[in-house]
Amino acid sequence: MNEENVLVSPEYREFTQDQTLVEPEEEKIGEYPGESILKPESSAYEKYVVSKPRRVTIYAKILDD
Amino acid sequence: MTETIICHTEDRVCQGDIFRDIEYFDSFSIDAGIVEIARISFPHIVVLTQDCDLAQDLTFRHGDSRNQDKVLLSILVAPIYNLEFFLNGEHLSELDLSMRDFRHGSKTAINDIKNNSNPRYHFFDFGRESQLPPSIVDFKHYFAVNIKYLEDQRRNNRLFRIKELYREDISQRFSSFLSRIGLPDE
Repeated sequence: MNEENVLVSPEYREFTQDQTLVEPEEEKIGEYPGESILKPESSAYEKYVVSKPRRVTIYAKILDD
Repeated sequence: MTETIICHTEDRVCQGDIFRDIEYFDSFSIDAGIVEIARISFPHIVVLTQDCDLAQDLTFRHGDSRNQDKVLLSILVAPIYNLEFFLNGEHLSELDLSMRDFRHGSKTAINDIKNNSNPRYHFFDFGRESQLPPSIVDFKHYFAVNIKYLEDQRRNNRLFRIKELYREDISQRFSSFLSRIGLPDE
């Protein structure tokens, strides 16, 4: 992909500013190329790459009038 | 294959938008005065609803139209899974669901997925600038979200938009998947 044609919204760039990218050629995880380009120790990796769909349940009590 | 993404300038939800941290409302119950609301939080989703419908919704919802004929009730989206977890069949492990393990199958099956030859899945390689790893959409897992809810997420949780050509590719493949005809097993 021509990276010059790729733009990211300012909000997202700000959000990910502490991320550390690793060249895909230098570090590949898994059997197939390009499957992991983020360092596992980065905070973004922890939250958005490692994270999976999860269940969130909340409880509330109905108050009497 | 490489997907191409673009910066967002639209002040509305668009087809092909990628959001993070979107919740699906799974169930709601009341027992002995206690309300239980179960949700599933998806790290990333892609918007599948047609863009013209989304544009018309905005016009009819907030414009001077005489009626609300084109207003939508919900927006169709699909979760995006990390390819590594997906190939291991572990992408829904937090939901106690074990999925197909492609790692211990034929390489042809994996190649079919990566070439978008398997109609159930759509493979994304957003590129490094997106900060997202190679990813997969499972068309079986589409769901609807409230339009007001997604609008509220737009400012902080919308990441970027898929370029039009690739957006149309997803749309065409999704509609093709939905319109398939199940024949009885003989």
